[in-house]
Amino acid sequence: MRGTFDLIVIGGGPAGQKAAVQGAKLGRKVLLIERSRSVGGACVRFGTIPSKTLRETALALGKFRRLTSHVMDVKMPAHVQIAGLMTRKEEVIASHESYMSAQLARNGIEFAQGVARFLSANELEIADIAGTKRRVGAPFFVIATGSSPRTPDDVPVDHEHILDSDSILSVSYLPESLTVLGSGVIACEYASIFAALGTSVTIIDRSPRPLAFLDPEISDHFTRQLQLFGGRYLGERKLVDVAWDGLSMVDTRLDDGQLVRSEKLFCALGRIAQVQGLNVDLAGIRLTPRGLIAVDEHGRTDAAHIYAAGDVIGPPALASTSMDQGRRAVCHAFGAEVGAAREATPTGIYTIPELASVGLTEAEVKERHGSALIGRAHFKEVARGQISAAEDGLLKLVAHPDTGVIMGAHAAGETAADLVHIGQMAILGGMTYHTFIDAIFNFPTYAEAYRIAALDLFGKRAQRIAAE
Amino acid sequence: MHSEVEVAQNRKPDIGVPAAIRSELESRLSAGSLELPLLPGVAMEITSAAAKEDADARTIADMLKRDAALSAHVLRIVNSPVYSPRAQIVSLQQAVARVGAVKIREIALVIACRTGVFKAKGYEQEIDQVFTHSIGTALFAQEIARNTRNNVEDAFLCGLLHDVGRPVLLQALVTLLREAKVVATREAVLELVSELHEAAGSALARAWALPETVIVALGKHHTSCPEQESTPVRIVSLADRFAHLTERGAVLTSDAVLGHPALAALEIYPDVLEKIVKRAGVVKETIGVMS
Repeated sequence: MRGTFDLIVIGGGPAGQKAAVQGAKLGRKVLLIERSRSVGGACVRFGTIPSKTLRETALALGKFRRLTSHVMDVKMPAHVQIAGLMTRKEEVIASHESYMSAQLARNGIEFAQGVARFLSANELEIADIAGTKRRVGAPFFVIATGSSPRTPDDVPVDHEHILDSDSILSVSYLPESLTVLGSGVIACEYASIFAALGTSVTIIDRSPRPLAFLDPEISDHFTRQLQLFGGRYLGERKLVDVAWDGLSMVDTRLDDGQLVRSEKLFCALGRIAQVQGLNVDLAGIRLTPRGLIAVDEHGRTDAAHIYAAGDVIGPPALASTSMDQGRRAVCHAFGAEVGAAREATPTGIYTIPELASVGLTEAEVKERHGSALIGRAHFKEVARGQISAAEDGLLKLVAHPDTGVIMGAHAAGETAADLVHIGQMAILGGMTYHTFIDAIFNFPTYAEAYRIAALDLFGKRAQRIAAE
Repeated sequence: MHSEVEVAQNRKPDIGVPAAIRSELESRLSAGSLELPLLPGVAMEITSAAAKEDADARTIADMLKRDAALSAHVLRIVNSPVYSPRAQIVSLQQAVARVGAVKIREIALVIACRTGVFKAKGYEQEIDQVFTHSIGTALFAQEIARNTRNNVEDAFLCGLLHDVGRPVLLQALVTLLREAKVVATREAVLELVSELHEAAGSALARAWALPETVIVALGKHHTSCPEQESTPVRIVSLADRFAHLTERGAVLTSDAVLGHPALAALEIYPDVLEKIVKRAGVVKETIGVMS
């Protein structure tokens, strides 16, 4: 059976889904192809939703302990079942999938379950699970096939003792010890969740500090909390050998001679674009040396009518940016107006504690302007933090050294990912720190941290001027 | 041991098992009064001890020492290529410490089930076949779980015990027939066992306090709608098919399982199916070691 559409989107994750919806909103006939029976991609099945459901349990447990420590002693039994800690996962996934399927139906988007491969630059073949094939064509395509965990040759992932981000949550019991290879977002999110639940966690990476792209004060905050949970970060180490001992433990040997033994090992050394079997070469699409699909600023591949969006084109590979890329690609394809791409894209990291960042770091502002104005608010100074027993948090504001215009906001602690959006609006609006001093905030809220940080910044600036 | 293809589930035996005995067996099963075999003392103690959070290697090793045959089997299995230890395991405490209490429980269960838990005179060969088939199903279940990013340990345990209801029923049925002084045809006995083994397996798993995932997998692994069942049920349903095909001596190919409803339920595309099929040789080799 051959079908013709105005737009074919391959992959139903955040990028593909938004691309398809945008195409339909522009009145086009859209086909969305997805390997799974419902849309959502890795984000729903292996990523954001399952891990955040487990995280909520760890957070709730931690908060309960902090708020009731004087009257109750809550202990996690050894080898507690992971499934028991994520009982809401299936409900959350079902609800999310149902919402997304309804959205596709509402917009008249045709859905096909199967795997796609290019037969030429204008034609695709879709094969379903039973192997039944169908040909489809369109003047425009969006490739949004996502990514899968990268497994280095020297890490024998068996999904039983040595796991990756697709299999880490399939373990039955909470392991007593866990080695985490890598120090990126996925590595640190899982490391902190397991550590908060009582697993003895060791993170190993070449980088001197975890989450190296963040402002050092924010990543140091993460490391301190990891240590409080009983975990450790072994930076500037290279891996020599990883092996399951054949019985019960995974042995990880490092270049400094150290041997780290743990019940399970989690390999989170990056992700690779999922283009296998897609026959992109037949469509005239080039891959970068790292295996990503090369695109221009509009998301166009070397074949001008084929776009790519999301993890398949590489960093930042966040669900939020992927959605935006999918939407923008389709608008460009059909000549629809689209606003300028925003530079102030926030990054939310769902570690425990939550970390978030928007705009420039202190080091970046100093590099560009010679110096920077810095203001900090510790959550112990914020009434909401005291009330919620969440005093271990930080908001750091970075402003232009001469004008005081806000250039970056970085946060660690409860609601950090929400909190930086206020900073994002300040950056987009070109506001100075005075805005936060003059504004009235609800009391008690974490947003008050902006005023405290702005006052800190103001005080330091006044001292500096007086000293000069 | 007979697949759903071989035995039509709703077909009543034509001759052999009298309706009264069949009815008695069914009512005992539904009332939960079917006599269930107990695990031998040591295996039972190990199963309960392994489930406790403070289970330590020394205690479990001490339990094992009381059963020489079980100890010997444990040492043989932990030193086999299946576990491929780097150093030879020479003591029971070392075995428990390195394999872990949960794995020792699995090994103790397999050995106990094979060595005299179930007694049905005249059907010893069938009981033996059940456990060889179960090891194959467990190993295939492990491979399916690995390739679909599901829990490998759960899949193994569910596969290992999926047909345990068959020897339970054989034992009960042979006793009932003997007491009633009735001689039933072998075919009729096995057919009735096949029909009711899921419910019996599930009842036994509950009596042995096994995890809920195992109870469900044992009770539903012949479902015609794996789509509506839990992941372990889907995995065991497919692994059961793989194991049967392997036992028939044929070279396992993807085509032989195409169309199995669990493939769609587990979203196993031909590329992933091929990876599982390629492991058939290793599975066969391992069955030889564990049987």
